[in-house]
This record gives sequence, structure tokens and C-alpha cells, in this order.
Amino acid sequence: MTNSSTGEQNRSEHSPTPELSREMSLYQITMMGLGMMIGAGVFLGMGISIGIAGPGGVVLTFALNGVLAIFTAMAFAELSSAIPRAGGAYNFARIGFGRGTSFLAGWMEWFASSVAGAMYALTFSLYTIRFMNAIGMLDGFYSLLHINPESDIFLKTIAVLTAAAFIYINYRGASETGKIGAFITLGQTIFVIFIGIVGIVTVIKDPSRLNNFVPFMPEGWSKLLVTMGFTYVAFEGFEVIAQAGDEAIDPRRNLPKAMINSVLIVTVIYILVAFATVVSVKAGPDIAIDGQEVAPWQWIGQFGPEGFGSAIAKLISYKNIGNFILTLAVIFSSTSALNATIFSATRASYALGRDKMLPSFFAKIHKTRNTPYGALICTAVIVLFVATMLPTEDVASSASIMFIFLFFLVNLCVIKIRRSMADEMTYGYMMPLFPVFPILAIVCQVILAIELREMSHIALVVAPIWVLIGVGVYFFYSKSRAITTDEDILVLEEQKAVPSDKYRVMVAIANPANATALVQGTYKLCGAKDAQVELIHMLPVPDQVALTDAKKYMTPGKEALMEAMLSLSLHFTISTTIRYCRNIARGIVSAIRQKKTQMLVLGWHGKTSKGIFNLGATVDPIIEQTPCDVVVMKDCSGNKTFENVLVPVAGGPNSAYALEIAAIMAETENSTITAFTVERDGGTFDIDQFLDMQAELLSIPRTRFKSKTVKAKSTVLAILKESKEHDLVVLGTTNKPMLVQIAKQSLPDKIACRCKTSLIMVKKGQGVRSWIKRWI
Amino acid sequence: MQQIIEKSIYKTNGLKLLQSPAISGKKAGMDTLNIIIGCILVVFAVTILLTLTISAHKSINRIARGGCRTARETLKEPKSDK
Repeated sequence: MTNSSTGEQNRSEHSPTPELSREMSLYQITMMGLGMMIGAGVFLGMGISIGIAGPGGVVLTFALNGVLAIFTAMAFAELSSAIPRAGGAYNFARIGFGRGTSFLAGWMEWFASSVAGAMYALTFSLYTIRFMNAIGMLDGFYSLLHINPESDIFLKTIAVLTAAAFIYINYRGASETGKIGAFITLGQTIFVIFIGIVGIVTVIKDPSRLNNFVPFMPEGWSKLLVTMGFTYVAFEGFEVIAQAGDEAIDPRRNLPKAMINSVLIVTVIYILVAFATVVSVKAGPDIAIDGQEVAPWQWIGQFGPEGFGSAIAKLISYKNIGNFILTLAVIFSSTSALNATIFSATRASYALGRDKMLPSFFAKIHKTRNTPYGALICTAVIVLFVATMLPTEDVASSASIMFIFLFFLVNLCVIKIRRSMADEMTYGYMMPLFPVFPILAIVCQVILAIELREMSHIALVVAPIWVLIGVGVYFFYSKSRAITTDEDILVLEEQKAVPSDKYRVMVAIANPANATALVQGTYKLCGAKDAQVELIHMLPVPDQVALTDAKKYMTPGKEALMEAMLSLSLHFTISTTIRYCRNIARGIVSAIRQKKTQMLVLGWHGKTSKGIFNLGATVDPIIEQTPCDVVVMKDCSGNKTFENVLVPVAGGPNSAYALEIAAIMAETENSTITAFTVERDGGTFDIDQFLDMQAELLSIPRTRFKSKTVKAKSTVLAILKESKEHDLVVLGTTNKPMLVQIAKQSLPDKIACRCKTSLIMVKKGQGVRSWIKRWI
Repeated sequence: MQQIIEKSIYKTNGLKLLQSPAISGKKAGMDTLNIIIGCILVVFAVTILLTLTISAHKSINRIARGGCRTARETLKEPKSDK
């Protein structure tokens, strides 16, 4: 390194680190979320929903959607409180599932925001034209330009011009500040609350309007799911709040509060507005379609996306004031939401370009304006194409379905992150009854996405195709190019073995001081398999320290590892690795996949955990997620010999594997292996038949196995009592999913935690099943 | 067939049928039942929203007061201040 470069490095080390100032209060970020929610979704969705689900259905649509939205809001709240950084779903997916899924999250967010932008542009256009028609401004235009008033040309033209204007504003770099945004949102909120109050006052003055709710659900309850799916986009606002992670004051408290508050406020408002819309029209001869008198809900429903406007014009009918106020509200809400969505879509695609997951054009920054014009141009293409080519209802449905996909992913992330990284995170909020709410949200979102097919076949085709294109882009382009500056694992020392076809055993060493003893304990296993052995030592590094800087502060324990290596090197092919990682379990699982290990051996201290883990924050995830066979040893280190081995069996694959490991560990001729089972009422397990079969499969003389069956009320107590007469217990782990184990500790875990004898827990590799578990 | 026609008329002109003496008692009963279920569902939804919002605020304040760091500490933290 030259002197000048050293000097530069020193300067950069001592120069202050730039960071964003935290200025947004709870009020401002709540308003920011409300601003996104109270927009086109409700204005477009109200009339269409009344036409489909009826007068009762529209109120229920918004009430039940609110409940569903708060489930997802809780997921966003928990994740944002733990990871309060700008990036939202992209960040959550990156941390929860890795680069591939984070690409998909960014890819979906880009499209969802772009389509939502097109929807806001169309809403703006729709209500502007409606107001102009109401005051007769356009009559001359239609005759002058020979345009049919029913045609979409005018609607699409204004939508395209509006979207183009906001694309240009984003290109110029202008964006509204939090305070102005909050002011506009306050205006919108006051307006919709005002409509709700007028609706209630109207009913108090004229109770007969309650008859508008009859028939309550003319099309049946099934239509409710269609309208819920269609209007789900009206609850999209958490993503914007999550994006404020870098700017919010006290983000761990304020972000979750803002998300949950905004859902509550918006749901109550929507229920009020839906009620007011239904009662806004008084039944009578003037409420007719083609000269035939109809029910008020049918009259509102006939206008489709403009139904809300028509209803409000009837509710506040004095000198077109209702129309005027409504148009102002729609213009304010659509334009602020349009600006925010174009900004959000641009930021999502720019992030993908910056991380080299999309071509570098996406990351191009304008030299003087400092705006990401490459990403903006690509976003503009989507917004303008969708606004021009698709009908309004299909655009709204496509936006809804994309957000449903995105929220589905976030609900998966909250489960995955709480399960695998809970002890690394500082949470400001943890949802109750975990994981009930995210699972409920996932199930409901799948149903809503399927039901949306009735609303728009185009949406149901466009959204999955976009996701599939994203998967293709990732595998054929992004995967090999994505930058790896923020890797979770860093290889510090690696001594590679000569590649061979031998059985590959990995021995994970947690404490270098015990390395030799653990390695001696695995000697028999490695010998029986004629294995190639990999010793791995993972060093956890706190988040505050960059992985690349960790070696300055931490001792890798290289000497202890070398000593352990020497004790095996005479007999086996050995390689060693020391890695820095954020989390030991993830580091080990990653190394196993990378090195295609067939058996993992690790030690366990035997201490019980009272938290969400049963055997510990490292052992539990490893057992759950590793695709290979796992052998966990407790108190088996050194050169111990085992004469009397107990194997509790129940007939599963792990029981069979436990017998195999027991046969390896009890290698002397005098040793006995007792297969033990507890018979309970109604049990039909034939232990002798099981042993016959396993002895044949493993090519072990049947005489080496003894069987013992006892009757007992408590299986755990019976096994623990029997274990006292043996010097080693070999136990198969449970195959129950981790989420089930959080609620109820498994039987093998109970035995392991209370057993005083030396113990080995084993799990047979499950291939595809472990791959699925890694993701879910 | 008669049922289909009846249903179709009912859908297209609920108001007239409501006012008409021909409306069947069964359909009126179904509407009443639907209205009751609908009202219960709306109240239920608002109650859930309120409960979850209040519990979230309490939980956020409790975690902030207790200075909990990790999930394990948070889960071990007593739910009540008593």
C-alpha cells in the first residue's frame, strides 16, 4: 500500500460517518401511511364493491379487510421494529431468506407500485372528467373533437398526461416533505370522516334509508371474498411506513405504532364511508336504470368505479358542492399517492440495479439532478403501458394481487426471522400468539388472490407471469452477478482437502478448548464410515462489527483446531475451516450445503433452554434445517467406551438411524444394545419385527440387539428410569416442525433435557423435506 | 326454474319485491339473518382491531420500559407491571 492510500484510509477511518437525520414524528409517519391508504383504492372500490357484493357486503368488505390488514400490519410492525431501516420488504426478505427472495420482493414491489401508480393516474382522470362533465365543461370538446363521451380516449389521455407529469417531477428530484404530505393527508382524512358523519346524520333525519340495506347480500356471501380481494389495495400503506425506518424518531416504537394505528383509523373510516355511500341515495322513482326503478345499491353499482362519486353527489347535492369537494379530495389523494408510488417503484428498481441484480442502467444517476433516471425510465414504461392498455378494473385488480403477493412474502419473513434469528434481533414490538396471525394472513391472502379471478382474469395472469419472469431473471441473470458485499459469512482460514468420493463428515467445534475431546468422541463414527473429515469452527460476530473487521478483535482459536486436526490426521483425510458469521446455526447450515456434507457431528452442553428453543438457539435450528444426517453428542467426548447402550425406538426413520449409530458406538463384542419401547393403550408397534428388519438392512447380526417393552403411563419417565441402567442413550429426534415444537416440547427433547446419562441425538437427513423446512 | 326466475327478479329489483306482498317470508327471514350476522361481524371486526391496537401499544411501551433486547428476553418479560 502506498503512503497516499494509507493516508486516505486513515482520513476515512477518522472522518465522521454520514447518517440521515431522524425528524419524522409518530404523527407524521401515521399520516404518511394514511395518505397511501385513503386514496384511489377506496374511491374506485366502493362503487364496484356495492355492485358486486350489495349494500351489506360493501360494509363487511371493508370491516373484514381491516382485520386481515392488521394481521399483516403486525408482521410489518414486528419486522420494522427489529430492522428499522429503509428498504421494507426487500430488506426483510434479504435477512429472512437471502438474496434470491429479496430480489423477488424488490421485483414485486417495483411492479406493484408501478401498477398502483397507473391506478392512481386513472382515478385522477376518472374523477376529473366526471366533475367536468357534471358542470358541462366538456360538452363543447366532445362535439369539437368528434369524440364519443362514452369512449375511454379522454380518460386514458388524461391518465397518461398525469402520470407523465409526475414522472417528470420525480426526474427533477422534487418530492413532497413529510409536513406537506401530512397536511394533504389530514385534508383527505377530514373529508372522508365528514362524508361518514353526513351519512349518519342523514339516517338520523330519515331512518327509512336503512331500508337501502335490504337485500343485505343479494349475490350471496361468496362475493364478499371477491370484493375483499379487489379492495385490499386500499389498505396498502405499511410498506411506505416501513420505508421511513431511517428517518423516523425512535423507530422501534413509532414505526409499529404508526402501522397499527393507521389500519385501525382507516378501517373505521372506511366502514363509516361505506355506510354513508349506501344510505346516500333515497329510493324512489328517480333512482332508475333504463326507466325501471331499482334499489339504491343497484343504482350506485351501475356506475362502477364512479359509483362512489355519484353517491356522494346525491348525499351532498347542494349546488354541486358534493361533486366539487369530492373531486378536490380525489385529486389531492391520487396525486400524492401517485407521486409516492412512482418514487417507491423507482427506489425499488434502483436498489435492484445498485445491487447488480438488474442491469447497471437501473442504477444510473443523473449527474446534476442526482435522480436515478434509469430506474425512473423503466418504471415510467410500466406505468404508462398499464394505464394505457388495461381497463381500470384490471389495473386495480393487478395492483391488489401484487400487494397480496408481497404481503404474503412479508408474513413468511416474520415467521422465518422470529424462528431463526430471534435472539440476534432487538425487537421493539413482538406480535402476540405467534405464529397464528401471520399464518392466518397467509391463508386468507391465498384465498383472496384466488377469488380475484372473478374480478379480473387479466390480473390473475399478469401477476403470476411477472413473478415467473422475476424468477427467470434471477436465475439467468442476477444470481451470478449480484454483489456480495454484505455477506453473512466470511471464510477466514480454510485448508481444503483433496477432493474424493468418500463419505463426508463435518465436525462443528463450538469451543476450541473442547475440540480435541469432541474429535476423539467422533473417532468411531468417522472410522465406521471411512470418512473424509471437515473440522469447522464458527465465530459469531455482533452486528455492530463488520465481518471484514472481525479478525482485528477476535481470536480464531486456530491452535486448538490444529491440535484436534492432528489427532485425526493419521487415520482420516482432514480439512479445516474457520468462518466468521452472524449466527452460528446459519453459518453451519450454509457450510453443509456448500460442502455437500453427509453427516454433521456437534457437541451439546446439555443445558436446557427456557426460551423459545428447546435444546438451544444453535442446536434446534441446525437439527431443523440441515439436509444431511445429524449427530448431537452430550457428554460423549474423549476416549469413552460404551458397553451398555439404550435406544428408545418408535419405528420411524430416526429410530432406525439411532440403532445404526448405537451399533457403531458400542463397537466391542461384549457390549449390548437395548431397543426399548413403551407400550401404551392401543399401541401396535412390534419391536422385534422392527429389529429384524433393521438388522438385515444394516447388515448387523441380530444377536447384537435386545428388545425390551414396558407398560407405563409416562413414556418420558419410563425411558429416563431405564437410562439410569445404561451408559449411553441414543435417541432419534422428532420430525415435528419447529413451529409445533414452540407450542409443545417434543418427547425426545424432554428426555434429552432431563437425561443424566451420556446421550446422542440423531436425525436422518430428509433431503427435499429439509429444503422445504429451510424456507417455511 | 321458477326459483331461478324468482332469484333473478329479486336481484334486479330488490326494492320492488321488498315492497311487494309477493315477497316470500323465507327470503325476508334470510335477509334479517344476514343483517344480524353482518352487524355481528362488523362489531367483531372493530373489536378485534381495537383489542390488537391496544395490546400492541401496551406491548411496545412495555418493551421500551423494560429495555428488552432480544426475543428471548421479551418473551420472558412478565406481561403485567404488577
